[in-house]
Amino acid sequence: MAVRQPVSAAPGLCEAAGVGIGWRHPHYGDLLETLPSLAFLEVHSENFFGAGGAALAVLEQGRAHYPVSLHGIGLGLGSVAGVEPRHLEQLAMLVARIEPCLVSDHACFTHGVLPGQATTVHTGDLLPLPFSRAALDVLCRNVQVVQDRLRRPLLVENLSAYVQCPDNEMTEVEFLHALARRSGCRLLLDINNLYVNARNAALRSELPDPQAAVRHTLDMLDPALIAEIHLAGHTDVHDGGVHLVIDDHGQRVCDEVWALYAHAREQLGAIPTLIEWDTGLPPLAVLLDEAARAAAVADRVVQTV
Amino acid sequence: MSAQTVPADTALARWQQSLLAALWAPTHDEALDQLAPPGVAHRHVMWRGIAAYRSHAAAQAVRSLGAAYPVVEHLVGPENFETLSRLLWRERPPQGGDLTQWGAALAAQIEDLPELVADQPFLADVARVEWALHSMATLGDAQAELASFTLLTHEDPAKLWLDLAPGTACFSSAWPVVTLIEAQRSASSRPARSGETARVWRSGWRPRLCKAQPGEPAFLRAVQEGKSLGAALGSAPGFDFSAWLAPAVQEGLLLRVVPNPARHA
Repeated sequence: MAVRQPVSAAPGLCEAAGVGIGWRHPHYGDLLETLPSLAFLEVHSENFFGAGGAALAVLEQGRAHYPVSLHGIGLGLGSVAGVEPRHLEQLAMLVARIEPCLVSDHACFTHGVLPGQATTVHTGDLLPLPFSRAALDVLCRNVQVVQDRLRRPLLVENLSAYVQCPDNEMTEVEFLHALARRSGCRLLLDINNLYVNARNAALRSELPDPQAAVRHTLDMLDPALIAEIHLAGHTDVHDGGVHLVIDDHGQRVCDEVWALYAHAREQLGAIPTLIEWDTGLPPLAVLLDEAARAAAVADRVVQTV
Repeated sequence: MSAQTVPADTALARWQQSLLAALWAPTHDEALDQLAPPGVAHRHVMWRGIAAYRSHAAAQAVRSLGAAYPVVEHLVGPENFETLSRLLWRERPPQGGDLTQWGAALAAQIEDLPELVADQPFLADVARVEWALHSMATLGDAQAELASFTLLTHEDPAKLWLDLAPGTACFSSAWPVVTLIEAQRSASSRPARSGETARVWRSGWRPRLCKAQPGEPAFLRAVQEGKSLGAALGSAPGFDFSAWLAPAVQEGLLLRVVPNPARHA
């Protein structure tokens, strides 16, 4: 496979390094009425598939006021079964219509064939991949299929995972760097996902200090490959004597992740940043408050550096 | 799927298939056996991780189906609806990444459950109508051309064609499906009557539902098959076009009249 070098001024990359929010259904009206100051909006691509309808019309209204980032949860870029052609066509139609500032999905698999069956099933979830050469090959090939169809670079997000994959052959950073350098995609760095994974590793006694582990990961990242940062909240779940941290996007960003965000900005520079909130959505004002906090962190870093 | 796929016997393919099998296993314990046989370190932690994925899938199923079938959910109650959602997820799983399009088979799933059919024999028909109302939401938009209706005053119906609203369809039922759905939507209680034929369509962005007129299903079907107005009327004896026309225009069911079948949408 040919090596594709990322180009900093490539079309389809967001040049503005401000803060945006995930725009979800309960906030459609509030946001369009108040038009708060935000660098961009991010929506889940799949919620706007189709040729028309009210949801698409609302998105076009939002697009008239803000740059829009399309964040996918269904491409399944790491699925050995390949990217679904119909899904990709739907995404391509949406990209042509909305002209988004960013298009992203995850370093995960989502679909495949159940043992003993012939048809593909889709899980509706983001399932982990091993950091292996085989997974890298699949991911690079599928990312390239998507980029060739969309004619723009894709952003690929690191995952939070609740089961440990066998056959890891490299670190997550090595895996993501190789993905970006081989495919020409950029990386969407979800700091909360890194922290959730580190917390769960600490709960398995594999790490002494989750925050230090994530700081080390951030220090290893190549700033030239990172095109967006996600910040979100998580929840500690205790069940059957087992403690697990779940990346549910249902809380405010925790203090540890804010500290890691400041560290990331010091290490990686100015990068578009998104506040994600998907479950138990609070009033829009809470998301705007989180966005203001992210902007304040970024400002402090700029003044310090 | 993309033409390039990975052979099923690779470690990566086996890992993905094992995780899929774990998600669709009947119980959490059977799911765990797919990924972490007894003796594996941190098996109890793995159990919780798999349970998290399985719980998320179950919640997704209820959430996706609930968005499409609010009346079915109301009729069977939240607990039964959750059971029905999980059953559909397991037996007729999503095949694409856009979960808003999953759930078309709920009516068939209901018909596979004799106790439910005996208890609520109208439920599958209600599900069919609700799915039609749900799935029309993302169809392409269409605008009415009011000026085109003047053609009806002077042109031969054999040389005119009608364009209908997105999602237009009729569903005949032995049960009062329209009354049942409207009663749940307005939270009113109305006595069930005889069978009804539902007509659904999208007026602007709004999915609409009403009882079809006598002969209307045959007429609309003929129009959608590309027959001229004259031929469609011939296919629907007993259909009162003059009584149908004004409400059809006002309600956004009839969008335009065209003199050329090539322009017929």
